[in-house]
Amino acid sequence: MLLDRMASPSFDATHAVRFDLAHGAVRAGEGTDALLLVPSSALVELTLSAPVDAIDALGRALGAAIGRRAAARLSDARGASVESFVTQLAGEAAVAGIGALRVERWGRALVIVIERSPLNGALLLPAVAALVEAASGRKVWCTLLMRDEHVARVLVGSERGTERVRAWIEGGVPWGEALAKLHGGGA
Amino acid sequence: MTNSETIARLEALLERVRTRRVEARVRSPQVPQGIAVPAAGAPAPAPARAPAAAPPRAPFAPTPAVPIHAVAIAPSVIRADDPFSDTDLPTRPPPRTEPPAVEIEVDIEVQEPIEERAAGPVGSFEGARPPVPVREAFDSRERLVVAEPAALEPASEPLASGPVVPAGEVVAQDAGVAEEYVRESAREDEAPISSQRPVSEPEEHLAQMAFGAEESRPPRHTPPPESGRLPAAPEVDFDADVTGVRQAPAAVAPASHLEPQVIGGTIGTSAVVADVVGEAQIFAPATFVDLVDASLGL
Repeated sequence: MLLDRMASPSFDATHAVRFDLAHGAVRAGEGTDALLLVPSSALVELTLSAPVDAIDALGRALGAAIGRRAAARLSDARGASVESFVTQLAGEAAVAGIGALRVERWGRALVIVIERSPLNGALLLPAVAALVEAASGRKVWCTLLMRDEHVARVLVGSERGTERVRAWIEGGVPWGEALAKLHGGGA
Repeated sequence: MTNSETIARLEALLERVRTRRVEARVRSPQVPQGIAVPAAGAPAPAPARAPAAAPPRAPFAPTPAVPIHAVAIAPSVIRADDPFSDTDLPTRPPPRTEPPAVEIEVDIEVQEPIEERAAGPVGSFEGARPPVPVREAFDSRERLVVAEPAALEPASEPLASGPVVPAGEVVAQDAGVAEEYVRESAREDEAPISSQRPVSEPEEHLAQMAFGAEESRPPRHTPPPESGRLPAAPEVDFDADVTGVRQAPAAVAPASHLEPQVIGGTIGTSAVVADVVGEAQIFAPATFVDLVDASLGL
């Protein structure tokens, strides 16, 4: 079931990014955190040579910032509906430039779909996990279901669940059947 | 008057002449002038011509085809003082007065066949009479020939209403031929068919033109339709599904044409076509945190 911005309040992007040309600084939202416009190719080169923990840390840093800004837009993040939450997340992800974000619910499984993202898998998975944790306050794990030229699907779940799905997919099970098996349809 | 009637009248006339002749011979047995006396030894005809010895006359019906000229040459002697000669006889013997000094040549036509017939019995009614001497018969025939037009005139009486026909032809022809001739002549005088039109209008038509017809005749031609829009055709209520093709008789295809035989497969109606995998979404988290918790519970 697609939950992509269905009947949810629109994202207000007014002054979402401020370019302080006099000071040579870029700021996002009301915060005081300075932003750095980095070429995406530079990040890809970094992931190819940096250690996994460094890449994971970089990704989590990106996602956590997006999640915190989205939750800041919500008065009650824990009581916000799925649609409202996804709307703010998608807006902040678009401002950060990591791509168009939407949510798919496959049964009980939560799948984050990101289109036209410049980040590779090594950065994208810790970024998605961090933004969900920052927005919901829950500790989550992620695994990549599929990725092609335009779209990347990331399963958000428990550590055990994500490990099983990864194993099935690496074993040749299609990602759709892997999600079905995750719901008890298979061993 | 037909030929039969003419013959009948002539027969009656002949009978009277014979009677008078016999009576005249009884009174004064004179030999007419110009008639040769029969030779010695010749049978005398007088006893045979006695009225008492004459056989009864048969009706004229058996002899309708007797030629007219055969009757005319019957030997007879007619007296000038006969009271019947003025009215009934076609000819009259010359008077017994002295002939005038002027010589008159009388051109008498002599017909040889008639002379030969006069020598022997002529016709059925002549058979009872003795043969007449040739000279006597010729003498009688001379007078009859002179009066020939008067004697033949009754025979041509039926043709009086038709076109003029020569008398000689009528004598030689029978009634059928004459009628055919009349028809042919009348046909030649008829106007051509294209010219055979009524000369005058019928009386009824003239009366209608003068006083008008009592009842008006229906007009021959209807007036032309009025200009304007044509009226719509009446709506026909018919069933669109019925095209008449089903009711039409099936056409019999020629035996030389091949027709396909359609063989269809048998498909059951209880076959399970769709296979439903899974079930509709029952889970509907109220918040995003609930969805995260549900996904963490897998």
